[in-house]
Amino acid sequence: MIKQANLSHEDMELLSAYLDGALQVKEVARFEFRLQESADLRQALEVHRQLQWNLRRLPRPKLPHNFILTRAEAQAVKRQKAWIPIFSTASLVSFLLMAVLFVLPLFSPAASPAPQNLAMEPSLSAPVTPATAESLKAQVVPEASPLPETTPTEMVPAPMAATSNSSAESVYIFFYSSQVMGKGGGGGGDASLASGGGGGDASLASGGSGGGGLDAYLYPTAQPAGNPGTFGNAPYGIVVPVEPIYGKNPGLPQALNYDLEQALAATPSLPPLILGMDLKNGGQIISTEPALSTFTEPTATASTQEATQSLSAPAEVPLRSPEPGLGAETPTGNQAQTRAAQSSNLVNIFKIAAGTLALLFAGLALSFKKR
Amino acid sequence: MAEVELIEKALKGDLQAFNDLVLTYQEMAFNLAYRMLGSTAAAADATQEAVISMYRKLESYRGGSFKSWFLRIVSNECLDELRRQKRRPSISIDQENEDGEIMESASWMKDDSLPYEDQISNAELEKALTHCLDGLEEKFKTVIVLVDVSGEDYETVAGTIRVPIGTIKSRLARARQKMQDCLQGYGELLPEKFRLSSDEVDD
Repeated sequence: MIKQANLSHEDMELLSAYLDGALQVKEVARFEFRLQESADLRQALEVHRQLQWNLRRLPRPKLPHNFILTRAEAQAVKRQKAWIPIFSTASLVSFLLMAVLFVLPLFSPAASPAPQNLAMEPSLSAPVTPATAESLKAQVVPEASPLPETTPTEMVPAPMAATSNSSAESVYIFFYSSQVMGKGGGGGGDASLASGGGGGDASLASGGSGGGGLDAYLYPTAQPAGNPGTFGNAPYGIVVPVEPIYGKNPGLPQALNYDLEQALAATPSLPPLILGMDLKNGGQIISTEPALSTFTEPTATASTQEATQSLSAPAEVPLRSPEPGLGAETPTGNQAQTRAAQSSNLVNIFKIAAGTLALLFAGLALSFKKR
Repeated sequence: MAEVELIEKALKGDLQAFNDLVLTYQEMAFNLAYRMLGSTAAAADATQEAVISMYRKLESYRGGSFKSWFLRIVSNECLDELRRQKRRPSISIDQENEDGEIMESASWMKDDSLPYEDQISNAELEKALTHCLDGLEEKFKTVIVLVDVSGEDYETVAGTIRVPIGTIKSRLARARQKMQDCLQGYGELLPEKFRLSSDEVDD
């Protein structure tokens, strides 16, 4: 029996290469010298030679058949091959599309400003319908109308129904006013639009209802609630039922009464404070629904109760009127936000679809390549 | 017809030239597949797949040894098949001993009831060698099959599996040593020259 030789891996490599005749001439001479010296090496060499000889003698299996290709097989292979560039290209295009969808929003000018600006910006260019102080007075709620007990935030879900039901008889007014007048801007839309609303001066605004917020509403108010205000001789008031940002009375919104003519006269020198509007446009109606042309001014006698009823439910005041000529083509803040969200969702869907298609086509291309 | 000429024609789409090349190397390819996979049916499938794959990739052939290129495709097919087999394990030929443990070598195949002289037969030796080959890692098996079974030189093997010749030498030395270790499990089943012992000193 032969002793298991304790040879290093280097020795085994030399021995293996020597056996295959893969050593250089100098290496052969050196290895043969070592062979003469070491019995272990000679024995290991003999064992490996025997192993190799037996491996070479292993019977070769008979071929089961020839492995040549028939013409039909060759054509099938070519047909499969034709799909590879198609799928590869489709995969590449899908990946590029996905990359564009990811990268493009980063360079889009719409991506940099805050979303509320998208909603507010059109108001600067929207046509503004001039209105006199008298017409404004005629459109506000009677003095005796009770103040709704619900808080403004509770009223938010209702406005759409109220709008659709009472659109024929109700008038929605949105005011831009100055800080000194204390009316508060009352930005439309949601909280993101709040920055557009000017803050009212609480000291002048009978409890302070400044600050923009969620949709502004018109509804009958308890006019003398709290302080009737500096311009308390007006028969009607406007309530902006939002959480006041600051003011003397941060609780329930208060009725704001004013005389627009006096207010305008009192603030001649202030720069425009809201959305860059010129001060002379302050207090004007920029949006009505229905349009002013179709609106019949309620008489003082017959319309008091009617107006109270029509305005008892809070109605949403759109930032701009949907009427043609009154900026109907420009969306409200909510609509713009909804559209932005929808378009964002659409882009995300496209991203996912492009990614899925890219992976699918790549998989198909690889699959055909493997086949 | 010379191989270069056949290759040129095959590259131009001549199916007959391609098939002539296949006929030249198919036996060698099938033998490699058989030793790699250990089954005639699996070897036939792998060889056929390799031929189809070679036809599809013919345009990517960039000269050099066509035999190495073909063998590389065959060995890749075999390695893929071995990996598939690992994912879907079949019944092992390893047997449990009396204690229920899996025996590492194929020494369970020996039959002690036979006279000693009868045990040493070519069939037994072939079984032992085949079993030991099957037990090698893929990288060692490929090298030892190509060099010791198929008789390819180092350069062809290096071109086939795309590794440097130094790596071939190293892997081959390890593969032979592992084969030798495995064959120890057969003990006296093997010819005396295979029987290495670490506890007996040769005189």
